[in-house]
This record gives sequence, C-alpha cells and structure tokens, in this order.
Amino acid sequence: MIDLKDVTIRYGDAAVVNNVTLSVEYGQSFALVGESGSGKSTILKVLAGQLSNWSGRIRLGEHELAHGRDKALVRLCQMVFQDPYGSLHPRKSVDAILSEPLAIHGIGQRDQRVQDAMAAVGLARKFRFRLPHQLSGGQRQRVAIARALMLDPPVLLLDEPTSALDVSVQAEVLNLLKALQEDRGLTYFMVTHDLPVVSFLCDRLAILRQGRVVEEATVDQLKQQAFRSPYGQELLSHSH
Amino acid sequence: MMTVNWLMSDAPETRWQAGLGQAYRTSRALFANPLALVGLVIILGLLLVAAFAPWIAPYSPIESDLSARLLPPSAAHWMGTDELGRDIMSRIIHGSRITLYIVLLVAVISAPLGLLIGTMAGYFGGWVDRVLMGLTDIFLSMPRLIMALAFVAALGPGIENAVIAIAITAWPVYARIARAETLTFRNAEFMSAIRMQGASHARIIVRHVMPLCLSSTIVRVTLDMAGIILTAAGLGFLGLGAQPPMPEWGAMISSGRAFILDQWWVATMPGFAIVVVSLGFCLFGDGLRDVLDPRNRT
Repeated sequence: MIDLKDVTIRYGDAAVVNNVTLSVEYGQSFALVGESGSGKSTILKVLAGQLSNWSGRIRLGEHELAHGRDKALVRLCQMVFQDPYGSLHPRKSVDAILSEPLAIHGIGQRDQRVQDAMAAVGLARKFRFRLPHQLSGGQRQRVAIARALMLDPPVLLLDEPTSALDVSVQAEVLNLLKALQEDRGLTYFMVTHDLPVVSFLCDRLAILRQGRVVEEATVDQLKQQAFRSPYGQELLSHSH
Repeated sequence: MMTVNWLMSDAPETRWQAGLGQAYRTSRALFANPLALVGLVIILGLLLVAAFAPWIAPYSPIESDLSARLLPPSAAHWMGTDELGRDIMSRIIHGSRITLYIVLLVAVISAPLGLLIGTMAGYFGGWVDRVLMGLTDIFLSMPRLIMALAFVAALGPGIENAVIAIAITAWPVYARIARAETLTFRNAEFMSAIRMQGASHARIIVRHVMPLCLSSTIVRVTLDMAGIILTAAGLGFLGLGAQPPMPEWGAMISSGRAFILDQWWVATMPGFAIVVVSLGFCLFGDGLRDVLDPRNRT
C-alpha cells in the first residue's frame, strides 16, 4: 500500500533522510520509531505532501506521489496530528470542522455523515456544536480522527497521536484507533518514540537513526525484546 | 431563566443555538464594562439621530434667516445660530448623517481591503509577502492627512473624494495587523490539516485565515473611527471635504473660526459633537477589544 524506494530528503544542503526503503502492506499498521531528530517526522511530512525537496520514488497504492501539491493524495491519505490543541481551528465548531472536507469535495448528506463520523469515534451528539476550547484533549483527538476519516481514505498517517494526552486518555484513543482499523481495513503509518504504543497498535516497525533505517522488525520481536541491532537494543533498554 | 439556560448551554443542539449562545456571552461581557456601555450608548445615539434627523431637528439646516444671525444659545436655539442665521443644533443633527456616511464608507472600503492584503501576504509568504508589504509600507509612510489632501486636490473636493482619500490611507494598518496575526498561525497544524483536505488557497484564506484575523481588525476599525472622523473634519475644515451649505462638522468649525472670540458657540458646538462621537467610538472599541480577545473566552 505504501512503498518508499531510495527516498532521500534534504533541508537545504543537508540530507535529513538517506536512502530509506520501506514497504507497508494494505491493512497493515506500521510504525516508524526513532528519537527526535532521526528524520521520522520528515518522512511523514513527505507522505502528507507537505515537503517537495525529496528524491526517490514513493507509491501509495497505484498512485505515484508527485513533488509538490498532489490533489490525488487527498482521497488516499489523511493525517492525525500530534497536538490536538493545535490541530483544530479555534473558531470552528466540531460540526464545521467535520463538514469542511465534505464541502470542499462537494459531498452531500452532510448532516448524516457528520453524525455517523461522530458516532464512529465515540463522540456524543451534544458535542456537535461545541468549539474546540470546550472539549477535553481526548475529545479533541477524537474530532481530529473523525476529520481524517471524513473522506474515507485507505491510509491514515499518525504523528504521535497520543503523546500529548494523559495516560488514561491515551489508552482510550489507542483502543479507538485499533477498533477503527479492524472495522475499516485501514492502513496505518505511525511515527512515534513510544515503544509500548507500537506493541499495542502495530504489526511491524522500522527503527530510524540519523536518517537511516537501522532495523526492520515485527511486533513479536519487539515484544520478545529481540532486536538484532545494538541501537534497537539501546532503545528497548531506554523504554523500561 | 429558561432562555438563559438555553443560551448558555454548553451542549447546543443546533448551529444557530451555538451562534446565539456565543453572541449572548459576548454581549454580557460587553454590558459588564461600563465604559464600553457609554461608548455603545453614544454610537446608538448617533445612529438614532442620523436616522431621524429631519424629525428631530427643529429648523432647516440649510435655509438662512439673516434676521437671526449669530444668536447665543437660548430656549429657541439651544446651540445658538451661525452667521447666516441657521440653527446650529439642526445643522449638527443633520451633520451626523454625513459623519456616519463617511465613517461607514471608509470602514467598508478599507477594512476588507487591508484584511485581504494582509492575510494574503501572511499566508503565501515569499515574494507575495514582500511585494504586498512593500506596497503597504509605501502607503504607511505617508502622513494620513497630507496624503488625503493630495488625493482630494487631484480628484476635486467633495465628500465622496474625501471618503476615497481617507480609505486609501486607512487600509495599510489593517493589512499589517492581519499579516502579523496570520504569521502566528500559518504553520499551525490546523492549517496543515485543511491543506491536506484539498482546500484551495482562496478557500483557506477566506474561510480559515480571515475569521481568526477578524476580531482584531474589527477592534482596530472601531478605534480608528475616531481618527477617521477627525480626518474628515480636518478635510472639511480645510474646505476640501463636504462643500457648503452641507452641515459637515469640520466645515462648521471652519466657518465659525472667524467669530471664535465674540460668538464662541458657532465653532464650539460642532467641536463638542466631534469630541463626543470620537470618544464614543474609542470607548466602544476598547471594550470590544477586551471582549473579543479569545484569551478571555471561557
């Protein structure tokens, strides 16, 4: 579903990501793990169409990712951002936020679709006309997830979707993400530094260090703490 | 009580209940501020006086009565009469229409223009920003009254030209504010999110950027209205705004200047009118700033 081949990403002259080749199958949940500065968020930005200074080949399904603004990308993948306090427009109600993608693409039956989407992410109807500042962090992240699903994309990009939330709320949001994936056969591409989150939600992971893939592993290897690379072992020891 | 609960509900059921609730909270905060309330009362008074001028004014603002020249304030003429025997209060009442006309027209022209240019500069950045802000700086560097004078001199005296001249000199401030505001959130995640949904640049600017710049622009326009009134009066005083016999306040001061020592009321009364209305807009603008600041919202 997602194929990266020899992807190099530059900021100015410095290459932040070097010759990364990754492949995620349809319906899989994949995690890109690394410390801050490893280039994992940069890869996510390229997949989201926010950066154009990259080389190599990226395919999403049958679609070859273009450099720069790519209109086909909209229906293929959407993103859930890290900070639910910054990812919702502060002056728009939940209803307006969820209706906007439908309005942009001229999709009808908005009332019904908005209600369905809110039900799907477990938001009660009374929240529909609230503004973001009247919602809790977990509720906001549910709105953000609902927004990403409004256009029914097969791929969801997750940028540390729970790191800004309280521990108790984290579990709720992770359960929701897992349930949505099972219901809809979504493909997840997640960026995180949180290994317990990976072992809960993902099937496979790749470890990124200084812009290079150090190791690719299955989640079973993570659970058995059986990473082959020394850096992978180091990450494991940090997370306990 | 039911209605208040319905308005203050934190779980509104429809779009317009949510909107009304927000408006109710805003107006309650405004009414809690006595100075803003004074400003609001003055502005509402101006609106009423302007709307019902022909019915309120006891005399004609234009017909002269040379037998009643320069009468001091009395029961018959509350604010006295001017050098052509016209009742000054009637002229001030009719003049409120001209003032309101100028202020509203300037606001309607310059605020959207400044907002559009500022948000475009902030949103696109790069060379668009440099070109638009260069233009803004050029307009901003010229003194408002001098620039307005130059325009009126080129276009010819008259209210319409005064309005155009003031509007042309008023928009750069709004552009600067809107740009600065846009820069604070142009890289926010909700902007990335709306871009990822495939919204066009025009849609993002109009529906997502402008609403966030709107409250500071409204506040600034309200505060500027005092300045607009003064500039219009200044143009009128110099004989470049409204032409006689129109009862424009600045022009009235100008014609009263000749008698200021012996017949003080001729120049003073329209001066009072300008001060009171300017003050009204200032106070209301200040109150509006406190209310619309999103940091104060709960």
